[in-house]
Amino acid sequence: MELRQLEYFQMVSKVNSFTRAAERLYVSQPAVTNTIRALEDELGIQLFDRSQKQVLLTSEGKIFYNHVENVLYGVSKTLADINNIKNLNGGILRLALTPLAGMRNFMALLKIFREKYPQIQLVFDESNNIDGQRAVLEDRVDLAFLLPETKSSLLTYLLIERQTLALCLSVEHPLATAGMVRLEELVEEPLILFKQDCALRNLILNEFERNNTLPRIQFESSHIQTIKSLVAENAGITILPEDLCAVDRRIETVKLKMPLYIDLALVYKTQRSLSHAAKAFIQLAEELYTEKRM
Amino acid sequence: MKLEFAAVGSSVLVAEEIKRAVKSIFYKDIKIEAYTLDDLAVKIDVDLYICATTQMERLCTLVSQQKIVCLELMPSSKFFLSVGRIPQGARVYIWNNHLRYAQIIEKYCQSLGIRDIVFEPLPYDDLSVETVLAKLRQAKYLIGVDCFIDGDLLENEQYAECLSPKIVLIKAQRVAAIHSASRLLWMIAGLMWQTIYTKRCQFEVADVTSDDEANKLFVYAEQAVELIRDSINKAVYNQISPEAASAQPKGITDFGMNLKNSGLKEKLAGIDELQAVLVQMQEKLKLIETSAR
Repeated sequence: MELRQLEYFQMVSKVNSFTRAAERLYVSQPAVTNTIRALEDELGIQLFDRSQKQVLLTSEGKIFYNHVENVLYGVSKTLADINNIKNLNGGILRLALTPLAGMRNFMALLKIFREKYPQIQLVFDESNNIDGQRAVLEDRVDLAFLLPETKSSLLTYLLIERQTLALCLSVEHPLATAGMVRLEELVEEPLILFKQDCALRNLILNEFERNNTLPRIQFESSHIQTIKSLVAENAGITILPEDLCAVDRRIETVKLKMPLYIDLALVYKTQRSLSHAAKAFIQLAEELYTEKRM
Repeated sequence: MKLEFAAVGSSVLVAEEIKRAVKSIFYKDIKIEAYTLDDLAVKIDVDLYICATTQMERLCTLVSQQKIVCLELMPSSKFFLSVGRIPQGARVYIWNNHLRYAQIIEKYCQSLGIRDIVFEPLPYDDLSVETVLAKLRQAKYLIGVDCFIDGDLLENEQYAECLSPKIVLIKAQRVAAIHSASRLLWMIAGLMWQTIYTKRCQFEVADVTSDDEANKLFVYAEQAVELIRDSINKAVYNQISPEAASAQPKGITDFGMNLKNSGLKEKLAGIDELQAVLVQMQEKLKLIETSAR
């Protein structure tokens, strides 16, 4: 049993809907439905009558609701606080990461944090922007490093890094010596992009659209290494943050004439009581970088 | 460094029930024995004495008040859900040794919305045997605390024989109410903090501390924090369903493992930090105790 189950139950009872409860709790609707079902299984009773348009408490559900209200009256927030009190020398810090998180400032931040708090176990969960934000909202991770394309009013975004995007191409490509290119010059080039739902992909495609052009997408991948290997083999070109272009000698980096930028942000839930480890991470990020909330 | 507790009741039944309720707050096994007040006439030295509110006054004459915690017991959700299934208009007897607790159960049922049945307290120690027998013969529904139904009703031949074979018995497993569980954990956190503090001061005085000693104290402090955190959660879940609450929480980490490679200085700093965490938890427990009362 978890405190979360009781909180979800209370919310569904109040709004008479799984969907509305999910919206108010900032979690997905299946998360609420499954949690309530698990609670019903544990208690061996049906808490809600789902046969009507509205989800209504059964007579047993009403008794249970009153009991839960009595039990949790005035204590649920304090209980949540207790659960979030963690020592810095132990524990786990869960981070959702965009595949593009490997930029300079993030790596430096991670290195310093590990040196300062060696006992904290860092667990990474690679996900795209939408899934990463959802993971934070549903408390599946403590923090996320994302490219905040669309922002949620429930999350705080701390700018860690703004990177210039650059064209990545094989050293054998005719444009490799160009020094600088315009986006329109790339219309006929086979483009290798991240798969859909990636903020970088959307940014690039929007920029092409803004120029009334459509790129020729040759390959799609979720893995930056695959994309770079394909570029190195001259199977196409791509556009990446400058930090991520380098390293491979078979790849050349060329600046875009109209520069494009992408922001990497540290994301956390505004109204959540954060663990000490998460707070320490945020504090370090603020000290080292911008202290700018986006 | 293991703490020892005494569960004290007016009778063996009550003492055993308190012992069970205290044990049910913890995931790990704790050292607790049940005693009646008469047993305590012989000096028994433990860290805490846990009793029902009614025994507080007498217990204070036997042991230091600072070592006593009152535990208020309440039935869990499952009991009330079963009472809620009793058909409308039915007469329900509340089996209890005294009237006061039977009235508490009746009042609490009504506050939960169980108002369409007729409650009749059956305080068997306050009534004559004839009256009790007469009521038991009529009873179709009888509710009460499990140890009183099992012990003073079903094990009493005179009473048990007059029960209808069709009688529905609803037994309440009582658990510690949140505010009293918080109070108990607040005191336990204080004792653990004191233990850590004393040992840590010894390290300062000795000026030389072995890695092994520091490791042991760090692990103890980590376990103290975990114990308090898990137990307050369990105390809440017990109110809903003691069976569901007994599942071990996920994510318990072996903090000791992480310490192996760190230096003595870091370990001592970690111990200091855990002491601060325990104090924070104590403050929160105090908050819960006052708001849940």
